[in-house]
Amino acid sequence: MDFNLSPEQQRYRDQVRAWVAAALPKAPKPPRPNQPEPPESVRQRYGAWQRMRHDGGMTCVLWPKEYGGQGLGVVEHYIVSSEVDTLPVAPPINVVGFGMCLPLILHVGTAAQKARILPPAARGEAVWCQLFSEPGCGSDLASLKTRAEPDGSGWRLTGQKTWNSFAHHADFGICLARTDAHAPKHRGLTMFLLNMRQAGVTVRPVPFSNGDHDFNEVFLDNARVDGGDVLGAVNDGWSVAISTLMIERGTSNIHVLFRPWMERVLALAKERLAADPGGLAAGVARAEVARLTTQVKIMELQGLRTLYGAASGAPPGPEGSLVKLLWSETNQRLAALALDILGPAGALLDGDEAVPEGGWYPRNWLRSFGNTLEAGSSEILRNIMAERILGLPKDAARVLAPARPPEARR
Amino acid sequence: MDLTYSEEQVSIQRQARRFFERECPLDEVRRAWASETGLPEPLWRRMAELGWLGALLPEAVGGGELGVTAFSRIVEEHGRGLLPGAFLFHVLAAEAIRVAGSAPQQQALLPPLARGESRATLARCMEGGRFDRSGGRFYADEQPAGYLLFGEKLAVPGLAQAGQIVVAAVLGLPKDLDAGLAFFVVPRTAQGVVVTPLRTLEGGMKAASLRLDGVRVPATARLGAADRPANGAAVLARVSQLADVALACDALGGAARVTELTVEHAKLRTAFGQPIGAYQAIKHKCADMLFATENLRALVDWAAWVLDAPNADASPALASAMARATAIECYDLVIRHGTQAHGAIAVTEEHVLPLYAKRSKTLALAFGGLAYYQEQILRESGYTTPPVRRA
Repeated sequence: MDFNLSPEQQRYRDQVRAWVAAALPKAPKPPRPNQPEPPESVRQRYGAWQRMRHDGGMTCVLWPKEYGGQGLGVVEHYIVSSEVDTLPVAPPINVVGFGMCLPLILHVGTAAQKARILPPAARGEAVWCQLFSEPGCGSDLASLKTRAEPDGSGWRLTGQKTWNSFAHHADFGICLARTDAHAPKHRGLTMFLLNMRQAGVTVRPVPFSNGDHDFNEVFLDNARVDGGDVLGAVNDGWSVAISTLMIERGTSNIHVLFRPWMERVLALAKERLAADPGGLAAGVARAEVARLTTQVKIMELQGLRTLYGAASGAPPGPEGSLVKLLWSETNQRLAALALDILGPAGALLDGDEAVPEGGWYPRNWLRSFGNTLEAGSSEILRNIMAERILGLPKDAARVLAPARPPEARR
Repeated sequence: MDLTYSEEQVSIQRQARRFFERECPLDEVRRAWASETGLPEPLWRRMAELGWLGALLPEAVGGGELGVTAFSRIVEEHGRGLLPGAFLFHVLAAEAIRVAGSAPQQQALLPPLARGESRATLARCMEGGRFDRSGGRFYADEQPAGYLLFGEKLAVPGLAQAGQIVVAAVLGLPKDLDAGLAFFVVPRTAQGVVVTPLRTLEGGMKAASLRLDGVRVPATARLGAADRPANGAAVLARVSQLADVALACDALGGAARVTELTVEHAKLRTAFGQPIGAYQAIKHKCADMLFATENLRALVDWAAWVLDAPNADASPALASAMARATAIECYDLVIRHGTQAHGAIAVTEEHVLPLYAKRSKTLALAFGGLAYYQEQILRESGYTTPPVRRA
């Protein structure tokens, strides 16, 4: 056992930190706080910062150099995630692209797809989103209804997708659609690379309960996909989708991105408990603060373990579900703890300088409800852990269910 | 970075599992728990031959110099097999002598402990059901030819079989109890040592109450050189941290075993036409048991490394407290879920689960409970301590 970085890895981290120190003064400046920012400005800031990262070798660490990456290992990837991804320079509008879509294309794409898609994304010129869930299906993803009909050398996609984070900024999306309505539900799906900038694609915002706009719903009306933009094999989309989710829950380092928010709550706890150590808030919170301080450490350790497994060549597996469950539940509990500690001030959003952090805590609390739903609900993660790690049987109701009701299959 | 056990550590763990399964199966555990003496003598001698009794001691005194990580591999199997617990307290007492003793004291006391010729335990700080970190409730008075020891403790684990008792006592009338702490090695047979066996929730720890009724010991019984006695607070800290990691590891082994047993049961037992493990009500309990156990494992591995590595990035007091607090809650959850998933059979005398339940609660309460370790986590993370509430 050795949890320390090796001397070479420490040197690499020092390099990354030196780059950050030199780059930050030149980085795009955020607009004034609490001012609405037009999407073009968000996109412009993102693009400028991503280009700086690309030119400095501080992005896409795992990708081969020919695709705009660094050709380095998972530890270096983790270091860059911790030191650079967490900086609040530009909104993370391509987090879905770098976390899921693009690694998936790197995994299963053809050489031509990779050469065409990855370098511009690395330079910050293309933003990607994911089009999986539908209004009628989330956890039971394989029962989705969006259909793809052959059209000459390509396809036409029609249907409705939802919960599409940052789709309003996206140029492209990976889209799961049904190509064979008569096959069992997991076997008739195909993964497509969809151009979002076309007439058949309409993106509508779905604001969060806290007012933030990350989510969208996406309407596909005969949206065109070229024959060369099928990812993986036709009718093999389910196994491609599963790989995405494994990547998402494994090496995507999302937990690292949550770390600053978690530490913000712990810093609040430390300050308030010191200010009034015998007070009511302290009495309520002490045990929970101790638990969650420990949970954050466990999250870091489990993240390192997953990473270490990946570094040893193991493919992303069901263990990633543990990390996902951990960061989502930890962040959710911390978000709630902050309000308990703040007391009545925790319910204030705006209007006075004295409102803590401009109302960030209650907005973070509302947003955190999504943590245990996005990227695999906690219930689905528990199914995966129980079935794929512990070997428990599937529920009979979930085995070999048809894609459509029997009467429709004739 | 290397997050795997070494080959030696893996092989020690494998050897420990085989050994405990063969030499101390469940029937033997039940007999030992019901007996007055606990761990059977032949088993003890075999553990000495394997080098486990001196696991952490230097080779010069007959030890194995295994380090905390390798030792933790044995302890995990110890918890899995519900071994009667004298082993842990023996190793802790030896560690106190290693850390605090002068060279001649180590040469005299440690080889017999490593060879298993003499058993030792550690009388720390329990009294009247309360716990505090200070040497508490044992007092030492300096005399012309040595020391006079007074005081009592309600429950000292492993005491029933111990020949040597390592006692932490407050010397004189110090301003700071920790700074005034001294460690003594007291033979069980010394005049004035009164041991009263206790019946306990879990039968393996063989706790007894200990009264020192004006026990006279020579100056050499105090650990440390005559002109440079051991720093009591530092010794207490090291031994406490080791105890916390060891107890967390015992809990890890037990919790992992209960999870296995529950998953096996959920695969075999059917209801309404399918195995109960196919229903999410049971399946998700199993997933939560796995989740809690794997999180504890990550923490225990890290804490053991922190205790071993001089250049670790965290304080041993923080790492060990996190491991202990997490172990307490993990084992508790695993027992509750495991019992519920097993159904009524798991609340009967004949079933194995209640043995794990008794062990879990005994570990949880030993040396301070959950709140104690939560406060230690806060203190070590830079939180201020709340003022004492007075009625």
